[in-house]
Amino acid sequence: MQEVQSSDRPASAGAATARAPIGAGLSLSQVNKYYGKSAAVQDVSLDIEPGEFVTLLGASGSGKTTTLMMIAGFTDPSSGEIRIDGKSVNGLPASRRNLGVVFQNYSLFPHLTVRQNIAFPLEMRKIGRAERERLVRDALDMVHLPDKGDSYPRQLSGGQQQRVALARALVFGPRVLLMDEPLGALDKKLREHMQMEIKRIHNELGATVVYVTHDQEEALTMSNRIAVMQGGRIVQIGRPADLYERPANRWVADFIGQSNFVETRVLSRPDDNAPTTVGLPDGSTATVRGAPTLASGAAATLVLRPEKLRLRNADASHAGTNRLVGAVQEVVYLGHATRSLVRLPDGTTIQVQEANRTGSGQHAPGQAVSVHWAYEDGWLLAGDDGARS
Amino acid sequence: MTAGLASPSQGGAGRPRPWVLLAPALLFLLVFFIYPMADMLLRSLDGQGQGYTLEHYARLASEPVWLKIISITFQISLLTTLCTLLLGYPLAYLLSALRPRMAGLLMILVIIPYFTSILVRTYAWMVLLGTDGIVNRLLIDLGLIDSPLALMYNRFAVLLGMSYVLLPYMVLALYSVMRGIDSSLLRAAHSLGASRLSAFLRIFLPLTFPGIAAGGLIVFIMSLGFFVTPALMGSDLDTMISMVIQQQVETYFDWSFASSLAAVLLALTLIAFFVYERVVGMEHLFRAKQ
Repeated sequence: MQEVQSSDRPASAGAATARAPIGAGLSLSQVNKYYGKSAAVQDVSLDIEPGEFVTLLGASGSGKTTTLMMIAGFTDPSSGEIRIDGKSVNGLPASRRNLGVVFQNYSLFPHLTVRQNIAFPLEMRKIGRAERERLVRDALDMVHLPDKGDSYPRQLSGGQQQRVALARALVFGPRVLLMDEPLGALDKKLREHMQMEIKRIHNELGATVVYVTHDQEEALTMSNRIAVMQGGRIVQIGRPADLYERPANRWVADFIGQSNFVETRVLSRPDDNAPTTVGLPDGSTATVRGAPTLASGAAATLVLRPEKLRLRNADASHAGTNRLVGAVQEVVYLGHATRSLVRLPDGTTIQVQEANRTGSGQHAPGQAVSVHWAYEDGWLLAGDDGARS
Repeated sequence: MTAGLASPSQGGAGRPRPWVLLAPALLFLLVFFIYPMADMLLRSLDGQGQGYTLEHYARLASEPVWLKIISITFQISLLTTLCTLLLGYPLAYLLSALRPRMAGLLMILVIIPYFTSILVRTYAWMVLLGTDGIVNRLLIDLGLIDSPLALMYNRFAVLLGMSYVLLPYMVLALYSVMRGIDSSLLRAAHSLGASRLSAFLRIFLPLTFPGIAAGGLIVFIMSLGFFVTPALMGSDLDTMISMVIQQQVETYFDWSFASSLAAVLLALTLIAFFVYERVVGMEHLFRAKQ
């Protein structure tokens, strides 16, 4: 029932060619989880391709961990179905799902050495001693800890414990790897390094990965697709660029990256692909993308990413482009960029982040400026969407 | 002199030195513990006006009855420890798996017997187990037996009574260790393919060894000096060392021989501690918390 793979299996994430990829497909259909009357997870449907790296992204209490625990088999869904490779696993105990799980606090067995920890899943599968030793050695090599086999977990640093947990979860060649905030306890530098390591291992092995995090940057860096969860539901699912460029609602726009929100009104909507013209608070107009369902006259929220905006002196005339006029309130030097806060006449502030290049104009607080953006960089959302938080 | 330079962790200025705080307890122990113990050890060597002698220990070693009693004391203590472990382990496991509120409530039920005198509790068992006791009468009324069973004045009664009295110590020791075991370790074991039984045997059980050792030590050492229960519920074959100490003092007024018996009991206790130190010293690797 289980395949044990060595780590030199060719990587073929999601590819239909060559040998069958090790990763299994995973699907959730209309999964719900109630604790008493309160819903932890509501109507979650998700299809994950073999070999895909999918992240469940959300704040605490969004249901992302509960969803992962249901896939792992630690919690039963109240309704709905979870399938691995098309076969329903409802009611199948965790021990027989053959999934690798990496826990937030690593959950290494403190009374066993690193080697014994990694050998544990192999012993449970009654794999012979010689084979076991070879697989443990391969797994230790894979996570770059070849000489830590005889240490106890508490003798290792956080990053090393994390690697051991990863090796233990992968040593038996699971077709799906589940990770619950695996890097939460590490400092920033180490976290970024481990993100790369996990990506490398994912590419090498080709297992399907479901990754849970509250860190949007981590999700953007690592995932093929991201499912953003809020209040137990998936509010948007897509590739990182889709979520960033075309957030489904204000909450997603706010949660992923930084956003400026400008309240506008739709003036004209010629047809699906042509730009929409909106009225800005100061009475001028702008042309933007998005919100094809909005009718003329509807309230809309314009999403502007700080790094896509340009500051110019207000007196310079740039007729015909999208712009908002205001005064610089604050200038923050970030090293790689400069962030300016611009206050509009109606009181809202707009954040602008410009790369520090030679010759890029520095603006001083108090200076009158205009904020510009290209038509492709303004994203329109329905104005009164209920998902703001 | 502690003012000014005292670090915050030491509680700030004006705090008395440690020995000042320790003095009352040390003084108490000196007068009521160290001195009597030294006196007892000296008495066990008392040569009735002719200096010190080992004759009391020689007598203890030469008359088989005393070694027999030490052996019985050991047997009863070990069996009591085993009984409390077998009874206490599942109970502590259940408590540790409950929500803290519920566990606290049930823990009070475990501890409530402490509020009653051990004498009262032992007599209660006698009422239950006697020839004309509730258990025998119930069994006869139900027609399961014809004549009363001998439930009292034997080894069974002694073990029952002692296990009952000492069970809470075992449960508390096990519970505190089990509570500290991260439940995600068992989840991890399941996710790695372990059945419930393997997860218990390979992960949970080894992680509770410190609790088993601590509970076992407490129960074993308390059993060594037990008096009331074996005296009231046992037969002559269940005579424990503290009973003969009492007998030597009360009946024969032989303080020296009683003292030598007490010294042996003390030595046995210290050996038990030593063994625990050695075992649990090693077991420190096996702590549940990292």
